[in-house]
Amino acid sequence: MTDSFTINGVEIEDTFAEAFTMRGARVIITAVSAHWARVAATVMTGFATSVIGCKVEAGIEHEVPADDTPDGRPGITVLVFTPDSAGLQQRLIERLGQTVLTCPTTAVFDGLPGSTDRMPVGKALRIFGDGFQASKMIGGIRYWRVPVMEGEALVQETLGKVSAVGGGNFLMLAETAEKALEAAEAAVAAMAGMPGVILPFPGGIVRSGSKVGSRRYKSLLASTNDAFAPTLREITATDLPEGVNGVMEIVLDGLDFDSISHAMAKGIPAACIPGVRRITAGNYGGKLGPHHFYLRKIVA
Amino acid sequence: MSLTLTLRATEAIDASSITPGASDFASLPCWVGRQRVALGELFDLRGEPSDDVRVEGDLRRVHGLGTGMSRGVLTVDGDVGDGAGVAMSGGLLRINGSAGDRLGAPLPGASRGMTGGEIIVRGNVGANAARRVRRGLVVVGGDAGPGAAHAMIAGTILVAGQLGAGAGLWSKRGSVIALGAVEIPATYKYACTYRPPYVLVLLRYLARVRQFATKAQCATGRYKRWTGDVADVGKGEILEWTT
Repeated sequence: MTDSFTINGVEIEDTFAEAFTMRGARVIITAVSAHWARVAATVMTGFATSVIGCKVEAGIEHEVPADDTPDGRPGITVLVFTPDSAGLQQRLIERLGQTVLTCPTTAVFDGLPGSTDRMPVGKALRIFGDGFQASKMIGGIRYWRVPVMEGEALVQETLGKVSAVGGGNFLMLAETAEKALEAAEAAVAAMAGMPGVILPFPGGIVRSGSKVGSRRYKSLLASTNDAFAPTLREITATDLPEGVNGVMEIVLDGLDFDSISHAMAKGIPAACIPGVRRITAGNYGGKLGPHHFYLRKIVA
Repeated sequence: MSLTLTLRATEAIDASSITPGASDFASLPCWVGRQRVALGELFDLRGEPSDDVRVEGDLRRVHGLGTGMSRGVLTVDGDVGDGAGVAMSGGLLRINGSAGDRLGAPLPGASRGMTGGEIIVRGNVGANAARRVRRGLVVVGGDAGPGAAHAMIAGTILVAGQLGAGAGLWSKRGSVIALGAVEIPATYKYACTYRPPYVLVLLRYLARVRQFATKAQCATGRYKRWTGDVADVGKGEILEWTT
């Protein structure tokens, strides 16, 4: 146990979250109403909690008022992350093609206009038009008009790609599982809508934190984080202090280091509620991931 | 830099040499009638040569402004003559007035008109605007004369006012966006009435970036889509705003 400090009586362990370099994209989805934009974004970011099994991590960043979108309709931004560069383009083509192109009234725009690294995602999606597609250049940006049963689907030809950060995290160790959830919910609420960051797990929260590999099953890439599983306290090398009976984790992916850092600075204090015993973070000793989020630096 | 026409033109002036990015403006050749004159003798020049050029004065008899321009901004304050933006390939030609015939059209005998860039005219334009345009955007705040978008290859012309007869005839893949009255040629076929998503993006771009506002109803309303010219490739369209 290293030097810790407290917020609202909750011990903050002096450790760091270890995160990895990923490739990230921001997609702006607009629709006839905020409802339909959110429907598309929700479906697009489904089954995208962890690259371990989903190949991609994605989430809703925030809503965009109609006044600030390229077509003047209500919008929403989605962030998408993959471990590799080629994978990002492929996942975007699959997801936009199956979940947004299909969704009534939507249009797709790039949310990273400053990125010079471009992926021809709309250019790939256009062929759904079976030769009837047409392009339009507006203000130096090429869009594809894909004829569909509703009328036309509009997709920007290229989407920007940036080097991003995935796997920022912190864990709430509480007296009960309910308290851990309550703390995590408070943290998620505090971080909602912050720019450049998403929480890919259900409701932003993961109960089944994992460790790398498996002690028994060689083929598993990840298995249960037994050190934080309260039922295993006496039969494994536990990291749980006395009185802790439930743990929740929040994982953050961001377009850059600072986005995650700023979000954690909001989320961690919000999670310091009565019933939480300790807040800590997951790392691998600093050897695997190049990005280290020291809790002390972030919130102290 | 800015150029102000000092001559009171009684003859046609060919000023097709005026394009953004030219180096020695004063010695650029112009034609007054059949006589070759240096640009410096017709225009009062101010500022350093740059990619942002402004032309002022009574320019109604000045033809060919922005011919072949490929970059930069050429702003014209007032009405201009024929052939503005002929064969331009890039940049922005902004005419804060009306323009004559053949706006953005090809050079005589050439197969292609404008191949890129934007032309924004606040007032009316004469005949054959956007003729044989291959790529790019032409925007007309007032009315367009007959034969607009004639034999258009691709690209877009938006007309806020009324379109003259024969708009879009022989167009291959061009888009004519008619916010005002338009006479649909017999070789255009009605497809549907819908809300074209790219028109929203275009109108918003024009309002925000080019300070060219259109009626709010044009963004919220529906458009009749006419496809043609079916006597040619037939992949073009006239989008007729219908409230």
